[in-house]
This record gives sequence, C-alpha cells and structure tokens, in this order.
Amino acid sequence: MKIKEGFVIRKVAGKYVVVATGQTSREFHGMVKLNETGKIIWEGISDGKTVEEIVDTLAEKFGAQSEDDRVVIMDDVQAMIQEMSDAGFLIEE
Amino acid sequence: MEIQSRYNYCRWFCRDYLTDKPPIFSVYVEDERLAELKEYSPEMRDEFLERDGVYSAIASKLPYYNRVALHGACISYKGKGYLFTAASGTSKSTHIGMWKQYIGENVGIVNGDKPIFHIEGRKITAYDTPWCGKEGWNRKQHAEMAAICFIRRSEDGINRIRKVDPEESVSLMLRQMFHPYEAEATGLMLELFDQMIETLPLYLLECDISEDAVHCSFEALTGETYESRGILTSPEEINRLWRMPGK
Repeated sequence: MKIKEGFVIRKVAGKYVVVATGQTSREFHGMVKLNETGKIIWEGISDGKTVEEIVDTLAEKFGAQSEDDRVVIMDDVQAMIQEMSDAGFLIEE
Repeated sequence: MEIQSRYNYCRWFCRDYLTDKPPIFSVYVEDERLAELKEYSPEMRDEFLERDGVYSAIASKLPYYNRVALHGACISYKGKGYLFTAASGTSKSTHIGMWKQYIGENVGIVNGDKPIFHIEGRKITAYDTPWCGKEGWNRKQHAEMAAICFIRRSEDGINRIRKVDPEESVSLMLRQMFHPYEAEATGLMLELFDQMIETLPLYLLECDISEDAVHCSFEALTGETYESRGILTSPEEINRLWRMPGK
C-alpha cells in the first residue's frame, strides 16, 4: 500500500492540509484536512509502515496500553485507510 | 525576472514593468505547456495563452523567494493594504470600485486580480503585477497589508461582516492561492500561506452590491467611522485613476 506521488502535507492554521501537485493535481483538486491522528496515519503509510506499526505509533502517542484501546485505534486506522482508498489516494501493491 | 517569450505581445503586456536590473530568475513557457493550456481554452489566441503561461511560471517560482501569488482584488486605504478575495464572479472588482466611489480619495489600487505578496516575518506587503483582470486596474503601487476579507454573496440581502479564525479561512482562501506544479514549491506556498493567515486579521463579508456593503466592510476593516471619509470619486473617474496612463 502506497500513497500516490505528488501529495504535499503541511501544518496550516494548526491542522494538517494535504494538496495534490504535479500530474496528481490533474486528478485531485480540493484539499484534505487532517487532525494529528490523521496526519500520523497519512505519514505512516507514506513512510511505508505497516498497519500494525501505525497502530503502535498511535498507541504510544495516546498512552494506550490495553488490548481494547488497540482495537479502537485499529478501527480508526482501517477506517481512514478505507476512506483514502475510496478517494483514490492509494496504490495497491 | 526575465521572461523569454515567443510572442511580442508578452513584452507589450508587461511594458510598464520593464527594468534594467539583472534578473533573479528566468521563465519560459515550453511548447508542451502551451499545448496544455490550449487544450483547456481552445478558443484563446496563442499570445494570450503564453501570457497566462508566463503568469503560472512566475507564480510557481515565487515561493522560493518568500512570495506567493493569489487571485483577489487588493486596494490600499491611507497606504495600508486590504485584500478582497472570493471565487470568480463574486463581484470583488465591483466592491473595490465602490470603495473608490464611496470612500474616495484615500483609496488606491494595488492590483485588481492577481497581486503578489511578500512575507517577511510579520510584515506582509502586497505588490502589483501586469495581470490585473478585465478592468485593467493596476498602477505599480504596493502596500503593507492590514487585513484580508473574503466575500460571499449575501443570501438574504443583508450586509454583514465578521472575523474568521485562521482555521476557517483555510477553506475560504486556499483555493484562491496559486498552486505551483512542483511539490517543493507547493510545500513552501503552504508554509507562507500559514504565515499570512496567522498574521493578518481575517474577515468574511456577506454582501450585495450597494453602498451599504461598502459601509459595512469599511468600518470593520479600517476601524474608522463611515462619516470620516474623504472627497468621493465619481464612477467615471475610477478607470482614469486606476488604469495605467494611456490604457
């Protein structure tokens, strides 16, 4: 799983904004706004981390130790990956 | 900057802005790029397509020099810059023209359509460009910015203005910013955009086309009362005062 090339992410007004550049900007016009969690997931995928590794990063950030907490985080990560996939941001490998 | 153009029209278009200073960068619109622009606007003449391509090429370089380009109408009042921005067709030009008409002598033009902003810490300065919209409003002026105002047509015919916070302004303004083609320049543009909206006071004006709309935005943006206006300008005078001599 990879993010298509050409997306740029920056912190703007306290939130994270993603816009498309280059050839990718022909496909995606608007922008995506992400909170801190969304940004960690986005960057995790972009850095080539596995879902498990992204969940670890988030669990550590939120001090989540129990199995239940991990399940909640896993749901969030998978929901966002699904949204990104539906929006056409991802390349399946 | 240096512009290498294939048509003389581009030089004529920029004629009031020629300089003998050495260029910091150079732009050229490649054949491929021109063909791409032609695809979007097949009815437009090549000279005009090149002019628009030159604008994009320049705007794409600006973020490397702490500058950004955007779509909006920028005026000065008592030397301070006020930017009005909105989607195309939301009467920005009409609104700034009415400022000139109803506020009068202290209102100057920076650029009616595509000004450039230089961001140096908390100091943000608006500059004129030859690309100034169909009204042709540009007089090679610049102004240190005081505020940004987003315009939206009023749904109920009531003119109102309120402050918006930087986060809300992102959805209102980011699409009016020029987005470079390259990722690196776009990243820099977003950083400069963030500085702009964190530095300047931001307003949302919902208005119709009327003197009352000017009253509403003038008082909020300048903090002055509407009664403190100067000598008014007749609508016929605006083009004479705001266009380059000979245009």
